[in-house]
Amino acid sequence: MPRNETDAFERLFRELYQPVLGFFTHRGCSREEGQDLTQDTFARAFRSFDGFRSEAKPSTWVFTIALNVWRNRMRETAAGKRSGEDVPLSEASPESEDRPPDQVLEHDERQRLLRTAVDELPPKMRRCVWSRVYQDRGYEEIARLLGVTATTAKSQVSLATPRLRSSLAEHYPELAADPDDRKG
Amino acid sequence: MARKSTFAEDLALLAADERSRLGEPPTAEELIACRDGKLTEEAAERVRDRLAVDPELASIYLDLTSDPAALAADAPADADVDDAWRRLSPRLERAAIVPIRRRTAARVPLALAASLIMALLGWLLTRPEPLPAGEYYPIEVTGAEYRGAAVTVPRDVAGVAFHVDASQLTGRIVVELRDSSDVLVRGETFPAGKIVFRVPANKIADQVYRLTVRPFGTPEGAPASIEEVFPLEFGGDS
Repeated sequence: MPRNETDAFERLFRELYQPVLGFFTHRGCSREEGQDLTQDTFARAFRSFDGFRSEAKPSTWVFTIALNVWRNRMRETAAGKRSGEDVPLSEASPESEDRPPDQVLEHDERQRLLRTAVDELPPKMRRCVWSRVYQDRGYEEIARLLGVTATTAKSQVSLATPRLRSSLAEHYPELAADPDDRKG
Repeated sequence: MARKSTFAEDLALLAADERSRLGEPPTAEELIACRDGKLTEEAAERVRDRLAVDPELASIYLDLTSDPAALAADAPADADVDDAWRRLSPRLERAAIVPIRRRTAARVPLALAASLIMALLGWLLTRPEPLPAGEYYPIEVTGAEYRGAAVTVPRDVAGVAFHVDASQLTGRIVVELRDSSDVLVRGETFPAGKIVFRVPANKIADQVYRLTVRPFGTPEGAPASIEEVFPLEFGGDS
């Protein structure tokens, strides 16, 4: 690689090293693991640097590589777990097997009702509810996730709340309280 | 007596079902394209459906939409960029050196002949079904067949020939074979609209690889209108 390209790559490295390291740290990596993955990211970036031109932002390009590096690591970790120790049967038993049959049936029925209630929401409203209630996200984050305004996200959750409550409160007493009020 | 599950617990179960139903999560390139508003509305909706029920992916997406300076705040405060560059430099130097094997006078024609014979045999034995036609680059893979979602290439085919219809191309294009992130082979010139990749057998595992075709100079993950991606799977029976 010509000297001027190596210099350009070094400038890119110095500009983005901390953000990429922060990206891996935010994923829960230890300091050492984060540094290793960051090094892997830039080593891979270097290999295709000659094919990179300025059509995309350099940070976009590097973070695409970082995300692929992270997913590789997740796959390796998952494969390692799959080939790990056997789980004793007593630990592997699903909780439902400990329940009396009538409770299993009741649980299945509640799950079916929940799915129906969620599926009946319009797609945008459903996504806002998932993000707010299941993921416990704030409205600003939901707006960035779903490409809507924070006001829209909030109104969608507000509209969904009475619909879910009317169809599910009988089966989930905690829904009697406004889920949005609980989250503040 | 077992207690009843809560709404939150059942919602989490339903979210897990939903993730299974939605299948594979979006690629890094799709996430970036969604962030940049470069997906079709339908494709963006699929990504958002996934983001809504996948907290880990949502967290990654939020990071990707953050200012890099904000991400830097999550790095260990004493992370030393100079030290990191010193440690990375030897790897970069090794990567920049491409070993060139000395070729004897006999090796060159032998290698050429072997490549041609392999490509010709592959073409004669298994004339492939066309791949999903891209908007710009119809491409056929010699020595392979199309099975469902991916093109399957017999593991013992050493040279894989890619026939590219270059009639609509005005400049150089790049063809790359990748696993999830690494480039295994790359070609940039297409005499007569054809390139032969020699894929190192020790690099190939039973998994789906990505064959990308895009104009030279366009970075990986370019908008779909200028980058075509084909799934390619090694390990089929010849």
